[in-house]
Amino acid sequence: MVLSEGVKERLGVVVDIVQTTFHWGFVPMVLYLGFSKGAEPGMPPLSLLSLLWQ
Amino acid sequence: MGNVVAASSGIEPTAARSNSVAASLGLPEPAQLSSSRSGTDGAAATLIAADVGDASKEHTLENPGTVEELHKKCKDVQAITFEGAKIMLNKGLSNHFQVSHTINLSTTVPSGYRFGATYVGTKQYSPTEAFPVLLGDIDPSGNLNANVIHQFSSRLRCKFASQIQESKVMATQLSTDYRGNDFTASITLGNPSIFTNSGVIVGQYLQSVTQRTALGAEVAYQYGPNVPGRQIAIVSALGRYTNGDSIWSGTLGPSGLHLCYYQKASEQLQIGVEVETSLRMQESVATIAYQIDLPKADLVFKGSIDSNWHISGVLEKRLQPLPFSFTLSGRMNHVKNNFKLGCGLMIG
Repeated sequence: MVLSEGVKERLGVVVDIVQTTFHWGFVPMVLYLGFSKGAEPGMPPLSLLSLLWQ
Repeated sequence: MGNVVAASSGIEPTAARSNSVAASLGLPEPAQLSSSRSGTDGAAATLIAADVGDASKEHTLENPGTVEELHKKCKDVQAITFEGAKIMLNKGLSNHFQVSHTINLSTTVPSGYRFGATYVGTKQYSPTEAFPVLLGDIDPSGNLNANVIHQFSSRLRCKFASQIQESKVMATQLSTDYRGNDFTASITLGNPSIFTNSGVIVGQYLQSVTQRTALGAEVAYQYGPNVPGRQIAIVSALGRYTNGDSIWSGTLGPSGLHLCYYQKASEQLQIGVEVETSLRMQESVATIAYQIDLPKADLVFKGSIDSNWHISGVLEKRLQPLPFSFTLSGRMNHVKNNFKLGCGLMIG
């Protein structure tokens, strides 16, 4: 596959943005999914502190 | 996974670690639909299988599992040693969500703190497994290991793994497994880059031939400017023979021969023997390993010795009734005169 320099440059920017988003967004996304699922029924609700201690 | 991918991507440790993390979380291991007739009901299962086999004229070949798991039983017996001190705190916030804090002190691997988070979704194809599974762990300088496993249907499963170090993607791997009734086909893409025009593609196929035998093949194709001749393809043949509590498995290709033998000697003792010959490095390594399980003492011991005279042992003891688990690891080589000691404590 041959790409011209201009296309490569623009693609590079897109890949960089995707990469950075993934890099810093992945763990927060996992945390968000976990928190949005919530605690088990009958258990106290989750808070940010419950990441560290009860 | 092919040696090519392991050699070129270096992502295998990540995957292995994520698997062990998953195991320590009690998360579902990738399904082993293979005929694992081990354990207490092995004999009974064989008897029943024989009866059923007569009735149904042995048309019931089972799924052989993936090529990645071909040597798994033998590899699992081997001790995985570490160096230094390790403290791990696992905290289950719900059935779907778990976080971990790890402090690692060592002279060889980077020391420090790591934070891990695991999310398990609600899509279930079997009672023990739920998808999607997202595993991420990150350290304060931003080195990230990310794993995503998702099962799209009862037959199709995708895995994505990525490792970012110093804001650079060190390794990326995307693999897809398709499990048929009596075969598994996988395709793996490693480190694809459209800028340097490089990457690795591995295709794997494993087919149950008889109830005990599975045969398969692997094609690894690597391309890129660093590869001699810009591209290279390696074909390997692989197979596995299961006989009751023992398993022979082997891989044969132009890069070398890899033979594994696993035997479950008793409820307590499992033995694994491995010979790996690399033609490129011009060397062979043989390993004998054993694992002793003492459930009454909440103790697991793994020991191994190889032909480079590495002697390794890992002792794992659960400190019931406390939710603690203590690990002691040692690795010694009298010839090279070195010794590595590690101890770990896992809470939760």
